[in-house]
Amino acid sequence: MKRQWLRRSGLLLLALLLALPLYAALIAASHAPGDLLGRLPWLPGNRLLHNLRTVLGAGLPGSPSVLRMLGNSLVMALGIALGKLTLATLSAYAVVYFRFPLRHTAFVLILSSLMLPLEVRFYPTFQVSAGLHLLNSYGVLIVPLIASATATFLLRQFFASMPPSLLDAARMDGAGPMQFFLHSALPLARTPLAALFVLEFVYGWNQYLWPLLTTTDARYATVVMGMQGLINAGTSFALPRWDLVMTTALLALLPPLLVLLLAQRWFIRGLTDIEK
Amino acid sequence: MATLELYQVCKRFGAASALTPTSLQVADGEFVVLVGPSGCGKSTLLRMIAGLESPSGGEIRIGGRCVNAQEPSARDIAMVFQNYALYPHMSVRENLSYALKLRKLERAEITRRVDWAVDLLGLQPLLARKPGELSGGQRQRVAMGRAIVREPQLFLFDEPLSNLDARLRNHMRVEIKQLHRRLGTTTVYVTHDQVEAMTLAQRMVVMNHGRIEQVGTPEEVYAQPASAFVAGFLGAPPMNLLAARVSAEGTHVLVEDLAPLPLSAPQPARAGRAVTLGLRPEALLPDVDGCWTVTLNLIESLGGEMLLHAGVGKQACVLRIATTTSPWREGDTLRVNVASTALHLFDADSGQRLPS
Ligand SMILES: Nc1ncnc2c1ncn2[C@@H]1O[C@H](COP(=O)(O)OP(=O)(O)OP(=O)(O)O)[C@@H](O)[C@H]1O
Ligand SMILES: [Mg+2]
Repeated sequence: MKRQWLRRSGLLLLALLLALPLYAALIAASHAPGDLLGRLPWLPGNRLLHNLRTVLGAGLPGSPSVLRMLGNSLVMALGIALGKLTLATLSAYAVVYFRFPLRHTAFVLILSSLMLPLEVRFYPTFQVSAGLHLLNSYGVLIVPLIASATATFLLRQFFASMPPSLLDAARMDGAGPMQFFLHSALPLARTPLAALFVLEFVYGWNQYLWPLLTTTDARYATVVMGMQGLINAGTSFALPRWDLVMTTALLALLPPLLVLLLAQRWFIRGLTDIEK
Repeated sequence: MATLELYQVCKRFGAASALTPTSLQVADGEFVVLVGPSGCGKSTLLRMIAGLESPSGGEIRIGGRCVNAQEPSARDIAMVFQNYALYPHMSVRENLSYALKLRKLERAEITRRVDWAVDLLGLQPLLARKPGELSGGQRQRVAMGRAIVREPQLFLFDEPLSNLDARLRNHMRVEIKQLHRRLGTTTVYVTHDQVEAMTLAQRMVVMNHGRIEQVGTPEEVYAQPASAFVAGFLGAPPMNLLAARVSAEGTHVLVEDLAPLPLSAPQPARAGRAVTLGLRPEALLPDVDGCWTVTLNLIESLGGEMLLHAGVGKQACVLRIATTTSPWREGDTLRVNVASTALHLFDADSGQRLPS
């Protein structure tokens, strides 16, 4: 009884700790800039809607429209998530169900790239993208990031855990490789796919360094990366516009949260029971 | 419907041989059961017939045509798997109609066939459910439905009942038999359960270590087992196999410490040689004037009959007596008689049956 109480209060404390910056952002976003000079009020103010309207409407002077940045982020996150899922599903399917030369080697290669963080290959990837004249486009935000060892690995495990007699039954029924993929493998994999979609969407949304390196044109700025510019723009006033910066930050947080909440049930099931 | 012929079909996995060259003819409409212990190659043989595995050698003919190079779906066969292998994400109705849709049959024809199978197997209340919401027996029935809607030339069953409990197994066994009566489709059925094999088979094929030991009707195989292996595999409990010797004149068989038994067919060629003597548990009959004395070690009652585990000389054997109460107790000695027509002799080395 006592242990449980201890554990609960511990969890509560951690949750509060995590929520604190969010609360601070909410407070800053709901006050007038004058209220934020040198202090942070304890309670939220009443200017949240007003600030939201300002940010989404006019934006901050000297920086691209927040709405546009949100749109760019959405394109990038969706593109990366869908691209990763497509590639990973197809390669996992190939590795599990087709016998081709060096099949195992191919899988080990994919798997070993799991060890390499994205940043390690920034330089060569940048060179290649520049060589292909991809810089400053949606393509460069998405295409170089859509290979995923994690997703390939998880889906391979999923396909490998499906009973082999399912494939036998499909072959007896006259389903070819693509029909088995579309009619059986894909629908059966929808839980892990949903979970992976959430993970990869958040991953794509939170990309910072790569968009910063490859897009200099403000038309392609994403909101996470644009935040930096916003802070510069916001603090260049005599009265720093922390209210608007924080409103934008809150807006930037929303879509990943929304995706996670909407797919929560699938997400948890997909990560816990890989079986089916 | 069609005939099935196998000519010298064999299968190797790497260096290991799973099936030695095997030939078998199955007549049109026949129900053949492949039976044998685990790992003897039954599934391998069945999967080669289905086309899911390609033979390392030999030829498979269905309806007279060689199908070695054909895809499974082109062979016009339906198969029922041990774990049912229903599509978990499709409803029962979709499971039934999937193969027909892939074959691009007309919608009316698909509906007709599915409705027919649904009627035949009583699946009406289950149509909208997913396989995960069905009991084992229901899944089994859907799996059979999925096979029969295709109206194939040949049915293959791979241990379809082994995941069911004993009562349901008996029930489904009868259903399968009735289904075969109604449809008359040529069927190859794999099982390791000898009761299933004996009751379902028109002809049974007993396999061991990747070889066919014997092919015959259940009655033939039971009455005249071709080898000591078959004798020891069939029957519950199976035939007693005793180490024995043919007498010097070739007219009697001798089990150590026991009285000689006269042979109905003398074996002069084997005089003095070691043999295996096979005796069905019901061939040993208690008789006060009996020739053998046995010691009872254990008595098991099965309700209508009793199994007596007894020592005969230095060896052990089982007697089956049709009686409800035992006049004997464990530790008693008992005289039994052995009918000379009930003797089975097998070569001690090869296990082959000796003519009698
Ligand atoms: N894909 C495979 N690779 C290697 N060996 C295999 C393969 N499939 C089967 N075998 C071997 O072939 C032999 C026969 O296997 P099979 O599955 O036909 O046995 P079975 O008679 O069906 O047994 P059970 O009653 O257990 O199903 C076994 O020794 C098995 O280990
Ligand atoms: Mg098997």
